[in-house]
Amino acid sequence: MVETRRRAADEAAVLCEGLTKRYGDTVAVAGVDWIVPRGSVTGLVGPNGAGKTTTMKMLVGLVHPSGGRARVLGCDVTRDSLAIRQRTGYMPEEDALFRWMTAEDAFAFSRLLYPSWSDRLARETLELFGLSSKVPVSKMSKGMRRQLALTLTVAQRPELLLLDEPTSGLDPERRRDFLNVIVKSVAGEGATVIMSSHQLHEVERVADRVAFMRDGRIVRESDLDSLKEAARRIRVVFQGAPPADLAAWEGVQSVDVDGKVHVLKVSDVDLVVTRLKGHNPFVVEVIEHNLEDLYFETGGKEVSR
Amino acid sequence: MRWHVNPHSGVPLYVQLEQQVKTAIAAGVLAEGDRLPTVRELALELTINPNTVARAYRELERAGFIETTPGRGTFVKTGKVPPMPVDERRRRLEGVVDVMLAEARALGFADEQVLAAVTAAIGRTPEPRPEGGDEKTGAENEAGFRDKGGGSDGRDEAAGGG
Repeated sequence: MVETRRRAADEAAVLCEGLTKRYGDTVAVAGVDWIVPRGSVTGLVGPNGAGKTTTMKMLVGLVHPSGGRARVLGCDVTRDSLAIRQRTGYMPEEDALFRWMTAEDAFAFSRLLYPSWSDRLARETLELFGLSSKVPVSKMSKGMRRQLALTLTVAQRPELLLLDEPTSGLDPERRRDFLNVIVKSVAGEGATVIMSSHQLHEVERVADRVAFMRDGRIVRESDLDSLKEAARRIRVVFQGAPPADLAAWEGVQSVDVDGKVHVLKVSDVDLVVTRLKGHNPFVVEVIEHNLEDLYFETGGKEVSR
Repeated sequence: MRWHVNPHSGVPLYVQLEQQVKTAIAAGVLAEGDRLPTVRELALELTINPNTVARAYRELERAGFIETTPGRGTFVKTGKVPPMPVDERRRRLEGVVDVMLAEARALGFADEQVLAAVTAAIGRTPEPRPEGGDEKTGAENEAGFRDKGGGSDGRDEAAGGG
């Protein structure tokens, strides 16, 4: 057991155990247990005030945890936060760019701070966004500032990108370019990405894992595809009487009956659908769940607890 | 080939990609030996996670539709594998029919009426024939899709009418 844990710690980009942050009587983060595999893109979703930003800040050493522990890229967040910050690109929700700086100035600054900084990547990204390198931040729109902030983050060639609501304030066309820059970091540099977002369709596009955060805890965390597959249901209406042993069928996990409608939770959709067709059904349909459905389903579960 | 994904669907993205490749192979859009984009290229074209593309390729490779040669790329597999297994095609056909039947019944039609409507539709629409009928893959496709002899009458009729 201990051995497995230790190996997971070596391989994971992020490992949290009971990570907690209290501000006086207020609990912002209430014991986060979380393992983020290297090379994955995780969408961190949840309502405002769930603790997403505080969790991210603890991971880069900007907020000191009140309890629990966290390791980022194998380094302890309280002891080695400097090493973490050199290897991690953090993009806060509100950018921290100096108003007088141009992109050119910001590049010169970052070049000194980050040993792995790439001027080529910085220029390429700036060009993709169509940003000028000579305009000061004070003359930029919010969207342009987000683009510059992302340029600075990826050109640092970090092993881990922590992006807090990265696409807020961007119009739909800019979003595509923006997400592509993130995808490029993953595909080209093998980076791990954690991004918080309220744009669930964006998370569905680029994330392969999703973590649902609520009331300071990660209440569910999984591979997004498995989550969608596990959430599939079969809705069936029989012409006559339903098979008496339906609930005991291979692959059937539970049966919800609402009048004539049976909703089946199953482990093997194809197997059960094929068998159902042999029982003269009026209608058989597979209900798929997208991330938004899953989001509300997860919320409902928490509230009813 | 034009790629497309719908991230907001409940169907996992890797499954969507898998099905697209299978359909393209069955339709002859992708032929044996054709090169597929690299994981990175496709991830960027669609703005999706490269891991998702890699997973779709892995599944397709396992099912024998494509083959990756290290250093050269990923190719539609040559050799024994048919464009799409008969089972798979039959399953899809059933899916289409199921939806149609459910819809028709919901509209209050009896099964005989549904059947008559399908027969009428077949009479109205001539069955498309691939242009290059002598092409081997095309011919194999055709043979795989129809396993009944009765189709030829309808085709002659349709041809006569047009």
